[in-house]
Amino acid sequence: MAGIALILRYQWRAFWRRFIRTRHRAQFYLTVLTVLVGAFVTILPERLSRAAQELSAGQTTSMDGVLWTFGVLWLFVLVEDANVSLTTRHLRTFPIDTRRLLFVRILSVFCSPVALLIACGSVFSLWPLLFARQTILGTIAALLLFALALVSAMCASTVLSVAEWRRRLLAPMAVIGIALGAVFLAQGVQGVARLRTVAAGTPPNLVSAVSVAATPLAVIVPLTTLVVMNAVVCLLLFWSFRRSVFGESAKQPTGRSVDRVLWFPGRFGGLVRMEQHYFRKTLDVWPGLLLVLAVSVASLFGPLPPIVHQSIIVIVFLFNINVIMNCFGLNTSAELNRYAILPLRGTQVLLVKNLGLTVIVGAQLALLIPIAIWRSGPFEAGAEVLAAAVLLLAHLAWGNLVSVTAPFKMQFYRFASNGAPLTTMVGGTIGSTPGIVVLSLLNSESSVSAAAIAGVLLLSLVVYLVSLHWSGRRFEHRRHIIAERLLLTI
Amino acid sequence: MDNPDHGPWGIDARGVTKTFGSVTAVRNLTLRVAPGTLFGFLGPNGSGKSTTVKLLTGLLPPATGEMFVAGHAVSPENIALRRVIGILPEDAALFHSLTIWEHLELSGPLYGLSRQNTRERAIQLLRHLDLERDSGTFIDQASYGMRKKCALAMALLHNPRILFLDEPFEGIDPGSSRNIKDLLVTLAAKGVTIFVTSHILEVVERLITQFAIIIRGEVVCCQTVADVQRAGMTLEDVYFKHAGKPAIGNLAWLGSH
Repeated sequence: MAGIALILRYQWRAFWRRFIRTRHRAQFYLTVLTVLVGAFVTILPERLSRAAQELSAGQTTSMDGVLWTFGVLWLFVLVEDANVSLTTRHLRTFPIDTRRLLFVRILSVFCSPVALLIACGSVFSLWPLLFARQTILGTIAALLLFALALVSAMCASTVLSVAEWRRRLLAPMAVIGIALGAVFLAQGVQGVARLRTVAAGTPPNLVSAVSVAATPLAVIVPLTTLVVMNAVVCLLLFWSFRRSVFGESAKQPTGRSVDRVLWFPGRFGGLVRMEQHYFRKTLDVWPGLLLVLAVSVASLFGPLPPIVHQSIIVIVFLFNINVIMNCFGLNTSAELNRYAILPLRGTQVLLVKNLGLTVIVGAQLALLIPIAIWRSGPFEAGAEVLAAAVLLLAHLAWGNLVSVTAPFKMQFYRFASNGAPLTTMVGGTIGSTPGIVVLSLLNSESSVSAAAIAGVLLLSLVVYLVSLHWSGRRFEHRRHIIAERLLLTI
Repeated sequence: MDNPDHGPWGIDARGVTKTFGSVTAVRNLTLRVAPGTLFGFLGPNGSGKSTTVKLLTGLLPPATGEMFVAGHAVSPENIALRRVIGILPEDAALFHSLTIWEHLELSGPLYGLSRQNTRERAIQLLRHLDLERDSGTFIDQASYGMRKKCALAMALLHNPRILFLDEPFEGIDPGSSRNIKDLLVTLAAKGVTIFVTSHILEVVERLITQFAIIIRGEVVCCQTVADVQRAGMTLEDVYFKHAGKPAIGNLAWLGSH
C-alpha cells in the first residue's frame, strides 16, 4: 500500500503542476466546476427535495432523474482517465502487480477536482433515500450504481486504447445508436415512449425499485442484478486492463480502405489525406456522422421536415467544433517541426488542415444531399449545400484563429477535453450564425433573399481568407510556442 | 532576403545568440563552412548542438546575429532556403500515423518532384538505407533506427545542396551506418555541404574534414581533422582537452549482491 500511496502522491503533484502551468487546462476545469457547482447549488436541492417527497409516497420519477444524471456524470471519468500524468504504461516497469496497477489507475482519476465534485454530489444525492421505504438497501443499491458507472467508464477507456477492440466493439455500438436514433426520429413521441419502456430496466431504475420495494423479497431481484452487473463489469475491466497493459499491440493494417475513398488530389494530397486521417481518429467527429446516418435511416421510412435536415447540419458542425478550433491539437512537437522543415508557408499548412477538415465534413454530410434530392427535390438539396458551405467557411475562419492562439493537446480516440469552454461556446455561436442566417433567408419569402444570401456567402469567404492568411503568418512565428503548449497538456 | 554575397560559403553564421528565458543556449556563434565540407559539430549533452542545427535551418529564430545558408538568409519564413537544404532533426520530425513509404510519397511533390520521380528516388533511397522491406511500417511501430533512416531519406529525397544531420548514426545498424557514411563522403565530393552533430567520436573522426566543439553554448574550438592528425592527436584528445573528463562517482555498491 505504501507504494500505491507514493505513486498517488506524485500523480497528484504532477496533475496540479500541469493545472498551474497550463492556462487552458485551468480554464477548462474552472468552467466545468462553475457549471457543476452552479447546477448543484441551484437545481439539485430542489430536485432532491422533490425526490424525497416522492420516495416517501412510493414514487420514483424524480429520483430516477437524479440517479440518471449522476450515472452519466460518472462517464466524465472516461475523459479524466486519459489525462493522468503517470500512465500505467510508465508505471508497469516498477515491480507492481496488475491488481495494484489497476487500483492506482482508478484512484488517479480522483486527482481531478471535477471527479471529486461528482463524488461529493453523488454522496449528497443519496439524501432522499432517507425517506424511502428501504433506506439502507436503497443506499447500497445507489452506491453499486455509482461503482458500476465508474467501472464502466474505466472499461470504455481501456477498450478505446486497444485498436483491435475499438474495431470490434465500436461498430456494433454505432449500429445500435443509429437504430435507436432512427426509431426516435421516425416515430417522434411514440418512439420516445418506447425508449422509456426499454429504459425501465436500466441500473438507475433498479436502484429506485430497491428503495421503494414494499417487501424484502421485492428487493432481491434488482439488488442481485446490480451486484451481478458490477461483478461482470469489474471482471471485464480487470481482464481488459491486463490485456491493454501487457498484451501485444496488433500491427496496424498496411492498407487503409477508407483513405482510398477520402483522398485529395494535387501537391498537398498526401498531407490532406494524413490530416483527415488524424481528425477521423478523434471521437468528436463521430457523433455527427452517427446523427446523419440516423436521420438518413429515418428518412427511408418517410420524409422528414426540411428543418430537421437543416438543424442536423448545424448540429454536426457544433459536434466538430473542438476539432475545427484546435487543428494542431493532435500533432506532436516533432510533427510541427516537420511542417517547418517542409517548404510550406504557414498559410499552406493551415489550408492543408482546413482541406482535411473539409473532407471529414463532406463525408459526414454526404448522405443528406441525395436524401434531400429524393425526398424534397434539388432546390432543398442546393439550400443544404449552401448552408453547409457558409457554416464551413465561418467555422474554419474562427477555428484557424483559435487554433494558432489557444492550442491544447487532444488525444486520439477521446473527446477533446482541455479546451476553454467559453471559447468553444463563442466559436459555436460565431461559426453557426452565418449558416443560420442563410437558412432563415432561404425559408423567407423576401425578394432580397437571394442577394442577401450571396452577400453572406461572399462575406464568409472573405473573412475565411483573411483568417487563413493571418493565422498562417501567426503559425510561422508561434510554432514553437504551440509545440510547448501541446507538450505541457499531454 | 537572400544575399548572393554569401555564395562562397555553404554555411555562414555571425554572432548568433539564442536564449530561452534566462538560459543562453548558444552564445555568439560565428561559423563559416565552405561548400563540399563534411563538418562535424561536437559537444556534450545539452551543450547547444541541436539548438544550433535548429537555428541554422530556421526552425528557431535567434535572439541576435545573422545566418546565411547556401546564400539564403536564414529565417522561418524563407521557403527558398527550405527547398535547398535537407534536415535530419534530433526528433526525426515524422508523422506517427503514416508509413515510411507515405512519408516519402507526400514529401516529394512538396519539393516540386513529380510523383514518378518521387517514387523512383524513394525506392532507391530505401534500398540504400536497407528500409525497402519495412516501407509499409507505420512510424509509431517503427524502431528508433528505422525512424532515423526514414527522416534521412526525406532529407535526401529532393537532392539538397546543404545537409544538416543531427546525430545521424544514433540507433543505426552497422551495415546501414557504413552505407550512410559512404553516401555522405560521395555527396561531399560532389560539393554538398554536410553539417553533422554526433557523440560518436570514432565514427565522425573517419568521416569529417573539419569540426567545431561547443561547450555550454560557446564554440571553443574550430579546426580541421588534418591539423589534429598533424599534431599527433586524435579527435578524442582534442575533445577531452576542451570538454574535460567527466567526474567519476563512487558506485562500489553496484553489483555487490
